[in-house]
Amino acid sequence: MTGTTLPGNCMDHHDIERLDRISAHIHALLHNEQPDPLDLTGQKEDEIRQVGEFVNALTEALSALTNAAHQLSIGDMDVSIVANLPACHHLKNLQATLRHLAWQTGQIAKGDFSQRVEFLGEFSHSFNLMVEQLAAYRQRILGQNRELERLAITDPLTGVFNRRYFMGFITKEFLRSQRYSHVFSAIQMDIDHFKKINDAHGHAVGDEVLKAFTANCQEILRECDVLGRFGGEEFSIILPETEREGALVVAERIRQTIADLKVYVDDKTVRFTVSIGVTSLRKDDTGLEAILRRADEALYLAKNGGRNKVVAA
Amino acid sequence: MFKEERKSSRFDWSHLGDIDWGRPNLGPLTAVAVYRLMQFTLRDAIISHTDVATANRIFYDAGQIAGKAFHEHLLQKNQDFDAFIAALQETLRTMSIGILRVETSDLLKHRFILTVAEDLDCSGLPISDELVCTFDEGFISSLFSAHFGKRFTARETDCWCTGDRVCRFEVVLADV
Repeated sequence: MTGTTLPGNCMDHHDIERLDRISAHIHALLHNEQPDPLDLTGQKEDEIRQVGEFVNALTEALSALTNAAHQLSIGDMDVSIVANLPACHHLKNLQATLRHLAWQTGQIAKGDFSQRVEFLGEFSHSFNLMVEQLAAYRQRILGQNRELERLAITDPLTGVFNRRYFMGFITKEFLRSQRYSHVFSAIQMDIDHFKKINDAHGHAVGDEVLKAFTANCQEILRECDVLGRFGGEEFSIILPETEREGALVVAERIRQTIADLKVYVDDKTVRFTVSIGVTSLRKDDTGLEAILRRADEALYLAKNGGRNKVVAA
Repeated sequence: MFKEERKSSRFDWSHLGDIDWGRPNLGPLTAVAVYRLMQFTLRDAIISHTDVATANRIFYDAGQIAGKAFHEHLLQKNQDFDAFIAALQETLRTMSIGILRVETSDLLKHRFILTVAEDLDCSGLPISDELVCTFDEGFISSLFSAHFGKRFTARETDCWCTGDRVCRFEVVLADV
């Protein structure tokens, strides 16, 4: 801190002249001009010299303050604020706040929406509102993405997986089984005479039949089993970690459940059956195509054998 | 318990006692001036008996013991860094210790710059061109050491007493 003190009252006309120069110097400072440093060395009057030193120190401090404020205003948050004036303290406080704000903004960019700004008045309110809205938007987008992902892999009518997802799943299951020597079974199903149901009762009833069929299949299947719709009335199931015998039990349960099922639509009662082909992974299976072909062949045999049957291949 | 001779810390959180039980009328809070009265008279006495370097070392070590106990009893373990900072900010504020803010956090290089505003130790002290928050240095280093499971050091670079409005600390991994 400076030890300079203000001068006393006993001044002659020389003192007043010097004070006029000091006054002009301060005037220049206040009008944002750059005055030359006051040189009052060698003067007799200590008090006047002290005023000069004070003004010079003030000039230097104001210059540093102006420079720091300018640097801060153009975004240099690391500017060194060395002058020891009350205004500098406030500027340093602002500098610390801005540095923290920069860090907070980085955090928000990384997805940390818990950040809130204080100490910046109206800006804090707006900033915090922005963060809250960003968080809400993000939640909404995540929810929409999940819904889009779900729609992309499911059949809109029945809610079971679509062919694309099913093929992806069976491919992975095949590779996993190859790698770890695990077994899995595949079931191919086709609703018998589905075209007749549509023709006799209309497509709305046909849709209800498809929904009732998949809902009853889901009731029988485990959570790890995957049911997919391959085409109109054609469905497939993957049974991970399931041998041929186990798959046959599941297939027969489905066949029987569907054969016993009555679907009520408006005042109509519809009954139908399903033909099922079953196969399991064999040691000599080198590709997925062989498994799918066997399941298809078994289904063909079930159809040709009178329908409402389970055939294993 | 308190007066046994020792060469290493024996501090335990239980040494703080059951404050609610012991102060049913006055409660758990006291004036900041009283805390500072304790802190600066203690520093004064230690310097009188030893020297400034020793006083600083004692305050730093005490801060480390306090930071370790603080982390153990008032903060959750195994949090990620963001959650750790959020919990620390909240706790320091709730207990009126200071307003912690982060300016830089480099998790790869383990280098952090923190500020504490309205600091319990120093905010409002006379400007003396001295960095006085030695206890805080030890306290913060210990909090980071406890969080990361590695030894950190904290160094105060700006202080209310040097003309800043906040105390600024640089926290880095200790040399091994």
